[in-house]
Amino acid sequence: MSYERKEIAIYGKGGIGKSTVCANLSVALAQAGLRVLQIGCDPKHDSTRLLTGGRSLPTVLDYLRDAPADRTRAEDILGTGTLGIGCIEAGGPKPGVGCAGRGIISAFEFLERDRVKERYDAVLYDVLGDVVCGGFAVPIRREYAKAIFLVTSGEFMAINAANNILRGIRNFDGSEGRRVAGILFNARSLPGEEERVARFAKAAGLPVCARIPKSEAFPAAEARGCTVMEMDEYPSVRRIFTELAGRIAGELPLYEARPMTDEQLEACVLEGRDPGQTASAERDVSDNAAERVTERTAAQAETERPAYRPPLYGCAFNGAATTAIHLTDALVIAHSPRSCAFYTWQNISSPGRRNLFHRGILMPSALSPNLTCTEMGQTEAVFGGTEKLRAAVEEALARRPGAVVVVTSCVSGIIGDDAAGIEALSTPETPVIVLKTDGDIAGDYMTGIEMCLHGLADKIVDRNTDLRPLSVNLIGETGVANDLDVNYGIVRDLLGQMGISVNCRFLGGATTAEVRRLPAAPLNILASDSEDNRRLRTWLEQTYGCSFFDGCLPVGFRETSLFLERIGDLFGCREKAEPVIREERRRYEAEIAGLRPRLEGKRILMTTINANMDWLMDAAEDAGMEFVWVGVLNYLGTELCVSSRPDRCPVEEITGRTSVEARAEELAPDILLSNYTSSVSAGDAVTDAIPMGRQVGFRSGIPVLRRWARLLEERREGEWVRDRALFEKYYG
Amino acid sequence: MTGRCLKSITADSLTGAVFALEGMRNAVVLLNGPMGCRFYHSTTSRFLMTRPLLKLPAGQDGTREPVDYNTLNDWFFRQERVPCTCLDGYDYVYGTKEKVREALTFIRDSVDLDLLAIVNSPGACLIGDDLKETARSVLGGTRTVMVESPGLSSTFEEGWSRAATALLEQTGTALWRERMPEKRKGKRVNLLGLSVWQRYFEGDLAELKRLFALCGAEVTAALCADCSVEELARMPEADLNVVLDPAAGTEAARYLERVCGTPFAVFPGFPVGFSATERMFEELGKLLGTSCEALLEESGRARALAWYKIEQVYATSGKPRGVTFFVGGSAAQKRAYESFLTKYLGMEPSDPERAELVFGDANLISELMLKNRRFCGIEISLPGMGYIDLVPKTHMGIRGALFLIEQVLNGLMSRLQDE
Repeated sequence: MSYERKEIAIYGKGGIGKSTVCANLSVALAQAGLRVLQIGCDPKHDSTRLLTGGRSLPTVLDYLRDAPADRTRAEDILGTGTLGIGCIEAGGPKPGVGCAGRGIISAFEFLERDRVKERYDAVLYDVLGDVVCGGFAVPIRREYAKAIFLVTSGEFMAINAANNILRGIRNFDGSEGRRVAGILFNARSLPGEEERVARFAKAAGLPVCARIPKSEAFPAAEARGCTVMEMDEYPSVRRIFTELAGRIAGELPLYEARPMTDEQLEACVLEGRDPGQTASAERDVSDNAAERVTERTAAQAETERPAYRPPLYGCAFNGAATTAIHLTDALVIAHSPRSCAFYTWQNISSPGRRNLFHRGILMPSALSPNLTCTEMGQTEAVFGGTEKLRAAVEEALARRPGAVVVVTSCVSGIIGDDAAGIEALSTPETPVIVLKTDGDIAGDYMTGIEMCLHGLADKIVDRNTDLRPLSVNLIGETGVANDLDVNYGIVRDLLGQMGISVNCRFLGGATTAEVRRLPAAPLNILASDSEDNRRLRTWLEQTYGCSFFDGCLPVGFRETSLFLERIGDLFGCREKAEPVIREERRRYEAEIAGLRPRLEGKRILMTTINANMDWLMDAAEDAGMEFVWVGVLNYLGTELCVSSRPDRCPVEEITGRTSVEARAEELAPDILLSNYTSSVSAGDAVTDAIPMGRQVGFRSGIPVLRRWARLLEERREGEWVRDRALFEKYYG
Repeated sequence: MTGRCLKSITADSLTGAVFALEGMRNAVVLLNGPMGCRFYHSTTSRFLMTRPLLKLPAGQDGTREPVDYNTLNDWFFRQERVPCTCLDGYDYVYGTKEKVREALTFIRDSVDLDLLAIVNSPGACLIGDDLKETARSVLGGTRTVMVESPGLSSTFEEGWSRAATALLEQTGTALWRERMPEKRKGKRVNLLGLSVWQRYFEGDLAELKRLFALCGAEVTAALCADCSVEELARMPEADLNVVLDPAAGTEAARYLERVCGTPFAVFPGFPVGFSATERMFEELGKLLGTSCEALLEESGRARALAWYKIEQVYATSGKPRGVTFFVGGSAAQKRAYESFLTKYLGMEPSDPERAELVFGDANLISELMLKNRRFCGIEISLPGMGYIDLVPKTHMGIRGALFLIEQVLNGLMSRLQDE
């Protein structure tokens, strides 16, 4: 081993004596004239006790939690032990809370920031028993430990832990690195222990660098609050550490980590057989054991890993929080770092700002959502965030909202905060509802919406509410789309003309009281037909016995006419639908007549997901336009359903062999329509995106036709179109 | 209502780290995290500065064609900025290395780039995967930077600082080890603390470069602010590092001093207004040995123009003296704007509920509009309302002072109509 600073990690099974070995080695190195720093990486923070005369040091993590962030200095946590040895305890949370591994990462970041190591010739990392997670593996990263010792006794479990640590090192170094210095055998005077350790060392290709006998020297030193190295007695024990220190100070040979499989280890250590002679690796030899372990670990990982996990679109946290804010008198608390709440806030407020700026429309729930955040920081990540959440909920309750809704993030989920226990803070007036989304651990954005709707209904809905005969519920409006309130206004007006009111919008914008009376409406209407909404419908039917309209909010003239007639039938007031339809027809035809001269004869080529597009195709055909080809992205492999009239135009499922570009070239459409705006030039054709949110009611297609009319007239024209070349020249 | 009195939630250190590295030219920032952490950055970054189209890796003839974003399905999801590894619950338990490896391989084979950055999301930074080795094994000689812990709920500036310093430590140092540039003739500076996530970033940078040129000094690099890897490599050439935002830029300046021996000057806030600009360049002139006479001359002319316009408004309304204002933003922004508005225009700081002029982001302005308040909102930070800027604007330097006065006077005029 040759390098400027000696950085040594000491790993081994818990209780094996690492801290004692480490402290004695630190003193031996200091006695050899090196400036030594010992860093205890165990939440128990007792690594340096023997160096400080039993004095307890403030831990890095306690310090970082309590001190103002801009005033933290390494001097405040750097203790000085015997012979000037620097002593640091990383510390960690109480057992069972927070994330100790993250604590190690935070502590190391702080020590790096203040460049503490630069003051020393040797740094010893005394690390928790096993490489249980990435945090506890930090000391064996290449930028830290340059040499690693394994402390073991002759007991099988201790040797097993040492072998496991070799696996961790192997994961970092592969077959290239050589950083294992060898074994420190801490003898227990057990029968056969010498042989077991020797066999393990031979199989792993490692030297036993020191044999530390079971000796009364250690309890005697501990009783005096010092290391054996500082005592006059026990020269033979002291010699062991002195020799070891001498080897470290000089050129210490380093070895590749070559762990064994479990079977090999048992065969080697317990049965005394050559590890190559095992059932699972009949003819292999120990030289290849490490590679075999690596391959096997990879193979195990493959079998443990699901064959294909599709990417999660968005996170459940965001879906749930974005939905929960529509409970208008609630306070929604994001139990998360500020970033998670900020992205949700932007997701909600972006359409609000656009509408305000471009159209002068104020959307209160979008501009100022009822969302707040616990702002989990490093302290909560390490020590747990439940207390901070509790304080936030108590503060929220003091404002007497209709409900307090807590949504949990990845960080909260990973460190295992007991968020669900917070529901116990509910009062008779205000339920506290915890949606344990844990970021995207619970699923994607749509999963979060579902969790939110179920969670709120479970805690709020009153099954014994009185019936409101001439009313409906609107179900599944959730979202932050620009047209949420526009669509609600259209439906409310149409139903209102028939004397029917909206009892509850679950959850497009409702108070806690309105959600409570959800069962009061005799009829429920799905806002849109989607798999998620169909699932919600089934759940509401089964859970609350809700009755549903056979269909959803209508899009387009034909659907809306039928919708009002059927609603009229269900409520016994069909005669009220007819004048409404008559008046709307007059308006619709007037609009179409105005657009027809500009659109008649225009040809459309459309690629779309497999969803009914009659509303748009009807309106386009009414204006004299023609769909020349429809390509369907049938992700779910279901029966094609883009139109109820299959003879309307050629419809083809898009596969890997379909070339939309070739179709476009062949058919020369005037408009290329798809689910997203393409950044690729479409030649002379106008490109447009199918609206994600669709306007409900009689006139759904009209805004789209208007836009096409404008786009067809206002194609890219003028000198600026040629200037892409200049963009390439100056910015390319 | 309970919600309307809540504070708006602002960006934190994760966004600071991502946008620091997004400020590097021809770089790709891979967010090692769930898609939920990515969307804001992907949609916002493309508007922050005028970027060249992403290019495919060079073909056999050396040509580099633009990337068709429709083919960037994996990891990019058809958006050119900030791909992500789409972590899920499984990855938090078993580690993220495999996904990072796959994503890096795809990016390496799909996009021509000068720098690849990896930034851990809050969840990813808890589990402690060592991704530097993974990046090294996949990307080989490609310049890389890894930000393992961008911070949890820390300030935007802290995240920016961590990422910028990591860039210097990991990429800069490697570049300088290959070839440490020598000092050249003429005065040169680096700018530290300027972020692409500023309302008028492009105009700010252009104005600062113009003013340095006016004083006979050249800007070698504006770290993480439309900065190329080549400029990063030349940073040690500079005679002085100028810290424009202490919270963001000081750590990077200290690092450069330690490694390259370059001294640095820290200014308490951005040069907003005539006095702050004049003071900053006078002080820099002393440090660099340059003359700022031309700048003072131009500033004098600008002050004269401003006087004429302010005088016209004052003569009819007695304003802007005594007009109340509120500044919402970072500490550096508050210091800079408040000083100018109080000392130069004689206005009075107030709380947002009573202020006649509100300087802040669009969230703050629109929230106040919801309260039916009559005030004039002036955007100084992001998110904006949606105004599309083509002419680069700035609130910094001499042109910035004039633009700011223009906005203040017009804001006052709109209020005068109500009185």
